[in-house]
Amino acid sequence: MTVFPRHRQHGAVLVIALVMLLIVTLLGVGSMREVALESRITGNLIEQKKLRNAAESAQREAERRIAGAESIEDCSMVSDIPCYHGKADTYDYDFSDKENYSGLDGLTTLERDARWYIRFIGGPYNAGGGGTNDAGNAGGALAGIETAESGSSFFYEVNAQAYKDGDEDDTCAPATLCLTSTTLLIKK
Amino acid sequence: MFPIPSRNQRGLSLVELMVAMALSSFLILGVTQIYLDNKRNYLYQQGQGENVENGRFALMLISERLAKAGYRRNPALTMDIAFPAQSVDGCAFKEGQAVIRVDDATLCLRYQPRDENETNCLGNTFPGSSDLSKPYDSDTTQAHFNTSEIMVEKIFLDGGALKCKVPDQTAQELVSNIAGLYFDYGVNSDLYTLKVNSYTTTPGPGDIIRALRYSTLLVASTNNLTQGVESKICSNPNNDDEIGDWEKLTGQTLTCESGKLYQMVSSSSTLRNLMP
Repeated sequence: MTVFPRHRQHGAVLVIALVMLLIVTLLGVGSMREVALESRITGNLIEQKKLRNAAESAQREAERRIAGAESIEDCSMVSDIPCYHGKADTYDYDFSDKENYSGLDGLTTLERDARWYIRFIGGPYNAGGGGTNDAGNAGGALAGIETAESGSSFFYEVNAQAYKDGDEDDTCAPATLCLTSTTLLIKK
Repeated sequence: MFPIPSRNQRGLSLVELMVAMALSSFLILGVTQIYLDNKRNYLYQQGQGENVENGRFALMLISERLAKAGYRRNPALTMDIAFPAQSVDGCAFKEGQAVIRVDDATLCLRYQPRDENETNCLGNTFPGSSDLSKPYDSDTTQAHFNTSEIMVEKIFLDGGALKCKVPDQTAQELVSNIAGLYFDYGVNSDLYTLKVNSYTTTPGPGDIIRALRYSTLLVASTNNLTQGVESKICSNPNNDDEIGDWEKLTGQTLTCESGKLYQMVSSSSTLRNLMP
């Protein structure tokens, strides 16, 4: 009579259990990676929204300050706020001379830091906002606002940047968000 | 004497077998039902997700396009000088108009490029030869932007997809699975008054469009998702009193294909280049 070798069967439980454990672990790790990816995407969207909100706040602050100003001069000549930093003749951003966002009340803070600066585009254009392609007055415009007649318009470029503390850069670095708009001041 | 049945050899009795089969068939019925419900729910959620995603994308695309409309390189120029009358691709712009309606689901817009990297809705960069080396065109010392090189885009609905056409290029599909598109225009008629007087779906030829409300109707690509429950959006073709939400909003009759999942999304934009 042959003896059935019972002892040779005992290891199978361990092997099968290990295989099952491996499968379950792989499934778990897979879904965790998926969750991590989803949270990163969501986090990125949230960060973009925060930055956009902050940048828009800074931009609106600058636009309101321009709208409320009597006159705007070059920052190299005056220390009033708002003042502009040269003529807008390049596409590049340069936030080295900037105003930090403070809100019109000077007290508002944002979830992300924001700052802005203004550049001069052109003016004075006569009432009605110019009209011909040759309305530009490039040379004398830079110092013209005091002497310009009432009702003439001056155009300014507002650049705003929002950034997370530490990511800022004088140019528009990838981790920041920059906005540009054009606004005008009508001489009173 | 009966042989004593060995404990090791005892078989399954018929009663045991039938009880076991009865119990397990109930169990299998229940599990199958749960499986089918889960599958249906999954497909429904997939369809819903597809609609939500397409809807967001369509709204984002339209608002991005509209944000460009009316951009002029020299902010001091009035609109009628910066945008002379132009007719291309079935879009007949009068002077000063940057956005026009062509028909219910077709919209044309135009803008001057800000820089060489300005892309149109097909992703192509500015094709013209105007000098864009400086950001603004206000300098008398440089050649002015050539207004015949204004970028024009036509956004329209065709064959269930939102498409975009630019001059000299074939139209491309931007978002698919769209069953309806509706624009409502905020207009006034004075070029120099930056204000919306009223909203209308059919702006007159002299109206300046300054704001838009838009809705898209999305339909999921999978069939048989609604299980016989029709959406409130659909109108009933057999009963004129049952008017769906889409028809209430847009006046366009909508007879839904049964089993298709519909969703409508709406948004609005003010054309920033044409308003204060």
